[in-house]
Amino acid sequence: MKRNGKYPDVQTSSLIGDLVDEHAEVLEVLEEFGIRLDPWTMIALKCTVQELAEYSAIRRPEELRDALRSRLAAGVHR
Amino acid sequence: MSENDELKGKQLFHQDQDEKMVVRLAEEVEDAEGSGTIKRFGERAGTSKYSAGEITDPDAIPSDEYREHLINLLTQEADSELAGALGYVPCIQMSPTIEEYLATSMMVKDEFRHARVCYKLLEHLGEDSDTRIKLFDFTLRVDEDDLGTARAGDDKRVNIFYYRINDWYDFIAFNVCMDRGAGHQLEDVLMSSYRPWARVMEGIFKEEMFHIAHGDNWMKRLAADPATRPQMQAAIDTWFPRTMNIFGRANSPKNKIYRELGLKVRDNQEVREAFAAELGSRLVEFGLRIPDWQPDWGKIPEEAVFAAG
Repeated sequence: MKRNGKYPDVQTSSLIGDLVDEHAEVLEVLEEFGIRLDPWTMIALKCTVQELAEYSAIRRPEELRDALRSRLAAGVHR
Repeated sequence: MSENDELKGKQLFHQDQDEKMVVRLAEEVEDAEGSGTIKRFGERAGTSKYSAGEITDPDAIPSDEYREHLINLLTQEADSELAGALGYVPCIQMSPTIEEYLATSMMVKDEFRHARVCYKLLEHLGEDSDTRIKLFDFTLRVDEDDLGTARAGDDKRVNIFYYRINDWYDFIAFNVCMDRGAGHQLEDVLMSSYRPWARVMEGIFKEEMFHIAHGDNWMKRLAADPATRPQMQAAIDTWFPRTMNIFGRANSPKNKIYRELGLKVRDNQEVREAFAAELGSRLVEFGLRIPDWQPDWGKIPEEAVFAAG
């Protein structure tokens, strides 16, 4: 898979998630370096809020959406 | 296992040198969603009273009969997931390399996640999951080679989860046979009339594809080495017939009811044949023999029990 007939120029600052998303073959390279990604995490990070809620047996996905909205509206508290 | 063939098991994500696993994963999920007689929510299969995904919430369940059968099927799956996860725990210590400790641990985690979401669906139906998991010994295993249809405990797990996984070959054969068999069974749930279950199952199904790939990669490796091929074949000889027995009997009355309710799509025999055909091609590809299997209907439960491996 390549965009516009070109492969991306991978830099040390490139985001792994973007590379995996667009080029599944990078998983083999990660494996060769002993980096094993968790399948569920990979699946979850590519889900919509609706999908993640449904895959997780959350009865009302809109409640997850609303909770996320509320949390973000409240700002960061550390 | 061969000394010069490092058992790194590092190719979890690709099927073989010619085919990328993740690509295959996507294709298999796509194929599964299009399997059977219906392909998307809103379509209705055969004799079903309800279309796929029609029942969207516990409050919309149309009858006590529907609820009873749904709870029964979900309980079978949840119990099997939990028993399966606990059965995999000792397999972590069977791992031949540090990388495999990690891979096997991830599979254990996946199975506990599957159990958790299935029990959550049951909680939405008013069932008390935390009480249930304390009622039974889900670590229970038996040493018999052939249980037939006997149940070793009072939980509702698929019979195959009472057998012990004894070594790494057993574990790989279980991945290859039971995870694949479960995948074929669970394809029907992707088009279930009960939408919450279908949606949960889509997530589970994607993870199961990784487990099958793990098994296939290892089977290929162990079958390619003359030093390990006999043990790999022996493990397949053990787990193939056990898996063939999970699918239930052809034309069973209960399967007919499930199909009328839209909780299953295909006849048990159709699912069994799909599994056997797919696994058979993989065994041949890797130079292994397809074990003989003759149906002994006295050893096959009337109805298939849903379970992901």
